[in-house]
Amino acid sequence: MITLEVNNQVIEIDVEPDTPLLWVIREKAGLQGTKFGCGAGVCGACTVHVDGLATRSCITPVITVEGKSVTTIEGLSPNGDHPLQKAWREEQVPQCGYCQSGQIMAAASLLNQNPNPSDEEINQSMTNICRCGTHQRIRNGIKKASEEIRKG
Amino acid sequence: MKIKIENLSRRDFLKSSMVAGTGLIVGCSGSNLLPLSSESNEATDLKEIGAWLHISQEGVITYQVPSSEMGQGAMTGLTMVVAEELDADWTRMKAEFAPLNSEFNNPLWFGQLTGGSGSIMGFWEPMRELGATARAMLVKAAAMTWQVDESALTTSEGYVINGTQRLAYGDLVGVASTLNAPRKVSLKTPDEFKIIGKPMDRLDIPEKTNGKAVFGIDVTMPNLRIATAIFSPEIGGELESFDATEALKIKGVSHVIEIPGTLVDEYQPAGIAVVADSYYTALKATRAINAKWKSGPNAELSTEDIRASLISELDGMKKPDLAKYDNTVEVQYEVPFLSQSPLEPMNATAYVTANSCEIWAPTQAQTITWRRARKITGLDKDQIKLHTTYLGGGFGRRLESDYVDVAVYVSQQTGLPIKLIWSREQDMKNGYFRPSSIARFQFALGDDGNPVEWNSQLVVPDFLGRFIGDMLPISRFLPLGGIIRGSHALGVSAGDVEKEASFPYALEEFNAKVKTIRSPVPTGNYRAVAHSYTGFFAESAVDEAAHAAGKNPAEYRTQLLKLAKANGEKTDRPLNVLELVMKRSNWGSPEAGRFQGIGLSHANASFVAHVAEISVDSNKKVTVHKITSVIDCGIAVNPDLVRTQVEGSVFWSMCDVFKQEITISNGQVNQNNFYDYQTLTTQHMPEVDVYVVPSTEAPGGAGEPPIPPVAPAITNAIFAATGERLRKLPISQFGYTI
Repeated sequence: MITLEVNNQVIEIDVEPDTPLLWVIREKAGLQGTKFGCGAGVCGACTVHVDGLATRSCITPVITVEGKSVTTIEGLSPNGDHPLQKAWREEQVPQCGYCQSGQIMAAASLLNQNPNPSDEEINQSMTNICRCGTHQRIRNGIKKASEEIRKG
Repeated sequence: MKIKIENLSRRDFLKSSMVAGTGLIVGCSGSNLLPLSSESNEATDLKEIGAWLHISQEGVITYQVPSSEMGQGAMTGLTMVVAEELDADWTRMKAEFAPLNSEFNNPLWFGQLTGGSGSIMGFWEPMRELGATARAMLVKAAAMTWQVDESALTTSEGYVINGTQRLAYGDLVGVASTLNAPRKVSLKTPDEFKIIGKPMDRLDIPEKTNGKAVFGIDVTMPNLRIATAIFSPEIGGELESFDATEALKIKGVSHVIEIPGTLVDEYQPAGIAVVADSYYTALKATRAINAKWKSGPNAELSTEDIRASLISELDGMKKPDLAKYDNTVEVQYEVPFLSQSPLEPMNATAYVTANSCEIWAPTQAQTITWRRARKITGLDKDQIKLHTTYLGGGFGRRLESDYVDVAVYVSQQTGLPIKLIWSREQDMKNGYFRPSSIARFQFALGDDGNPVEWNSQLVVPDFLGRFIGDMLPISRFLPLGGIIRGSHALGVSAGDVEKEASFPYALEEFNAKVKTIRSPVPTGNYRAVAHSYTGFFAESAVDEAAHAAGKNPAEYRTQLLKLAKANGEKTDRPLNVLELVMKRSNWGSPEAGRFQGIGLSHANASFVAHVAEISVDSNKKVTVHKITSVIDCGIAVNPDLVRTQVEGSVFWSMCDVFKQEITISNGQVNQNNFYDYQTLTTQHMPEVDVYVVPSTEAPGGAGEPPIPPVAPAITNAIFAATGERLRKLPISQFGYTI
């Protein structure tokens, strides 16, 4: 049995310790907002927070997060009203939307550490793949959310 | 003013019905499809039999979206079209994905298929009629209720209005459902539009920001088992033997199933599927299978071989004799195989029993999927149900149904509901790739620099015969060869057989020859299909002509378009986008140290021009600072959605220009995953400034037309900066990075 906290709920699961956190989240916790894209930690569709830091869950063995706190897109805000989620709707960011949970979680981690990132800092930090090409709106969304967070 | 619509065939089929007090149903059914006395209490059952629209007594309007939503925005755009003619309250519109039923066929494709930038184009008229029909019935119901003449009534935002009186649509559905659908309805003129032309928020975005959107990979149900599969690493290779002993020992693994090659089409690889209680368990088990693969006819195949056959075909094609001209140019252009690689890996869920097959899939091609499921299961057409989920990208990959076939097959073999998920690696290696292609141009310029003779030969592996045959079995009796070759010649996709030239310039002698070869490598659709390379070829070649003529490349293009216009060609629209993009990009006056390149295209009934502004450093590192785009897609149902498609197309093509290439050695695809089939990321995304030309022309496409001019705009700009003409993609092979 492995114990971890997902979106403030403690869960105990019976899985092989090398099982990637992604599949525990999706198949055991039933939280399917976190996506499988590459299985190699490259595309970032599986990005969640582990103790507040953006983590690519498809290459994170669940045993390594035992006792830690995991946040998924479903747990980012109580009603989907995190400044980034609001900005994503205002800027009409998603197209197919498959990468966007990961994009939002990566951006949330960035803003946690740097509430006022420059364009260059956004560019360097946002390495998640989006095939639809929503990056210009992602940049705008992050800036909009950053303003709201700084205003308090 | 109202337009009177008469004698439209679909008009005769519009019917309506009231189902046991549940509201107004409007469908486009043929015969006796709408039950009048069903005990069904939800529109969800009615949609299975082809009802398009349900208006509840609460005033909620549920619309069955006939196109797949893969990011292009068809769900929102089509709902807007219906809501417009219905004069609906936009906030009460609810969109659902239509189930499998020929009622929902796209008139452009004779089937349920989302591609060719054809959702708005194909459904523009029928969806307006649908909304107008429902509106007319509600107006008639109100006239009967008030005992007034219909002509005195107006509608607005979900109400029928009579002076100061008004009735909500929901309150009228009872009476309206007793009426026959009118045989004729009036449609609005563009100046009457209240929803069309507005940047309405996308309907799918809220659930795409909170993790709730259900993609194919998210389908779940009781007793669902998870499968994954491995396939012959060699294209066309066979399975010799395998030992599943160790795999079956893994806790949670229940079945190991051999998948025969050519399951439905000739390109499908032989493979092995593992069924387990979780994806990771299934994946681990595939690694424990000791599979031996047998080499086939492609054991030695490489991309170099395919290139050699393309060259050999080109060498065999007749070339013109340009000896009589002074100013001639002969050049060759090439593009590689590409993978669509939508971010959601190929997956599908299927449950096959002795007399039923139910499928849940993120598919662009419902009709093809259905037809192939019938072949695998042997079931009758009515025994197969198909539910379309959101698609995590399509880009043409999901016009193929190979991955659904495997889910259906594994479910049939096990008798269990199966969700099949391919790993990214299997997805990358078992694709239907955008074909590689080579084109040659020979042109001669007159004293004024204008082309007096323009010749091109293009060779490309063909897939359209296979694909169209899948879509429309009767097509094998049609003279498709000519259409396919003609389509390639013109750079249009298979459905566009209306001779829509992607090359609008004035040319006295224009000879475009196309030859297709059979490819041992599976090839298929891609975003912009043939335009994805013919745009690069033709717009680069025109740039070369401008250079040879000593002319400014943008002015050269406008000059040729003006000449064509003088010759009676319809070039107003491309000329307009060209002139607008020159103005908006400050053509000729880039910022210091930057260089500009231009590209123009006519694809899927729309016109697009881009200007790329770039700089190149001494290490050949390119910075794309800005792309200025102008698109004329006729009436833009949702201009912001059109903008997103232009932004996305710019990014998509930049990946092709700078990075992407599928290569083959020893019969095997060399690329594995996004670490060796690299995309660009946020840092590479330029500012994209999009202008959507206001128009009252019928809508054209938006998802693909912006693709073809991106690559030439960038490579033409690099030529302006460096003097190096880049005639092959990706340009990394010439040492350029981004």
